[in-house]
Amino acid sequence: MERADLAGGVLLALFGILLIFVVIPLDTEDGVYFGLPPEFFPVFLSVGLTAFAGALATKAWLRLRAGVALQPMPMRLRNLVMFVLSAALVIAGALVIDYFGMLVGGPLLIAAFMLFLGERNAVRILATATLPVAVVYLLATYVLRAPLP
Amino acid sequence: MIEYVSIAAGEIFTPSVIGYIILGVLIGYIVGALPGMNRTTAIALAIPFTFTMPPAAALSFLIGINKGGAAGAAVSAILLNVPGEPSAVVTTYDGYPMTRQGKARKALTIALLASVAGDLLATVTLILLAQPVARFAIGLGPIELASILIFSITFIAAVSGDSFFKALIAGILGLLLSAPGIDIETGLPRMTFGMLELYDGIPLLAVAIGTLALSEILVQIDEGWHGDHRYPQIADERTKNADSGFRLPDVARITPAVLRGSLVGTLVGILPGLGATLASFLAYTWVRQSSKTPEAFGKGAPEGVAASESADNATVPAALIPVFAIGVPGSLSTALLMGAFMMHGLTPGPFLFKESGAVVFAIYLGMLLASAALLLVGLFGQRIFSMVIQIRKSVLLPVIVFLCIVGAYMEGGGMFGVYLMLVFGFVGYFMKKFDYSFVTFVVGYVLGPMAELTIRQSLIISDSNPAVLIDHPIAVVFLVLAALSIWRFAIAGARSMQIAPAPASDGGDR
Repeated sequence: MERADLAGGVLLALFGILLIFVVIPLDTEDGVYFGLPPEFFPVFLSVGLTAFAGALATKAWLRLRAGVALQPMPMRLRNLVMFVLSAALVIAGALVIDYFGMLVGGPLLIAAFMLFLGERNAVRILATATLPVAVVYLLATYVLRAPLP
Repeated sequence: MIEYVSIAAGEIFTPSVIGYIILGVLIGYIVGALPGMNRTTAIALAIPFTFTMPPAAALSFLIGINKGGAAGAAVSAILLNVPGEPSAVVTTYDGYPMTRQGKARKALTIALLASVAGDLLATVTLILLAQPVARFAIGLGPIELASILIFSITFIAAVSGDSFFKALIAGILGLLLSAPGIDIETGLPRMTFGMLELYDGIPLLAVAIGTLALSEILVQIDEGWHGDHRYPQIADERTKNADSGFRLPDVARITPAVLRGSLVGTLVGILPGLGATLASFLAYTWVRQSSKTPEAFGKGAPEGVAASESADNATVPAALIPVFAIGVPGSLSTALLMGAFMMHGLTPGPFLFKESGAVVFAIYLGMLLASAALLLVGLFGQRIFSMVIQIRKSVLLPVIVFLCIVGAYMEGGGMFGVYLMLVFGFVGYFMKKFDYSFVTFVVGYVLGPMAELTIRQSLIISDSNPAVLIDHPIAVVFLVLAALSIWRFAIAGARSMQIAPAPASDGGDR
């Protein structure tokens, strides 16, 4: 965990610096105003972010140097692979919904996820993939009057 | 006030609103009962479905989910020895042994009655306390409010997760998320990256659903990869036992534990960040220490279940006191509810009672109705819930992923909201894995606009001169408390004496 904290602290501190000197100045419109400039609050927070991220990295580095009982890494390669696969599946599902609509994309997303999680019962997959989508679609369209894609 | 009550009664006592409240409690109960699912996820997913409801009905429905979730978590804790939420961990200590002794029905009834009693007592406290505190808070200026907000975020960071720095960083990132959009003071756009969709800021539901619901699903998939995607089997409760049912003398036996639990839950609920998990631990410890038979605890003592459940449920209405009175949420669910208030055109805080008094009283009535619904749903649904908790994860998780997409889409902004939700889901996954408190993250995001306004006003009023604090003793008190939190948890580095025991999965309402 200390290595992760060190890396996270350094990255977040760099992110804070990037916000202060690049992102916020470049992406805040200039104009006439009274009082504090619009970039005041984000810059104020970014300074805090940089400072605390620096403190986190320093603390982790000191623990690493001292060689005290280190905490294990919370993620292994297996976790990362699972995350990437799940994330890819969700993104793919969202894209299918975006292009083909909820009535096509919804069941496909649910069915794909069920197969991914090891479900092999065809009836269960069919029922789970269609019923919730139908209920939500009818609810959104006819009760809430909030059209879905 | 009388006219408020009559208007509120007219709004709440309609078949549709009563139906919404019962439905909310039922959804909350089921979600709470399912191990790994939690009420904050349910609230985040339910908010978009409330857009067409009147404000009082919508908020009563959401609060119903919150109340139901707190009570439902006991079901799997008692029957499976798997707490539905971290706050129900303590319920397993005595609840599961009771099930093993063939007293599952008794344990479930005690948990239900204690939950309803704790909830009801804290709801009455909310009704009695919120308005006087709000009256006092009206007198607070931006300097006091800014210092209260700084204290709240610092304190929540101090008691969340294992690392103060990481929790504070998460809080700052949450505050930063509220920055994109039109600047409240100058009216100039900032950090919108040329996207029109960001002119109104980053949508709440994209953040909430992504960080709370989708990330939780990703974590569960990741952790369950090599395991069985089914929950453990319910303990065999067919054992014949003369003491298996709930009887009248049991009421007298658990009443002191319920009262103690309710008191602890109410006090802990009012304070920001401490949450239901700590409340149930404290109540359990207090009741065990004051018991004549402390050795019975952990082996199936009904008082243990009663203390834990009453404290857990009392935190739900109590946590709304600071939201109603000063507009400061102290937990995930109250942060979401505060977001829901704003989506329905209500501004939580000192002026809520003045501007929307009738709606507040309608919400109070809705909360009392939800307490009654909790009792009915719990009594009549026990058998159903004991079956529901065995739904396979391979069925449940894909449906929730689908609901995440629907929820993010329905807030407005179309697929932009969905893609943003996915981003926050992925960010939330890493935050959970690397222990960056998403409690401070979400609370920071919700408090962002208020924090910016009060800090800017304070700086302008004081001309950036800290000496003006001398004229603001309340602000000084809260700033000193914030400084003490930093000293206690960061500089002194005394993490081992942390106040709140961090649950393994920070999925509950802290």
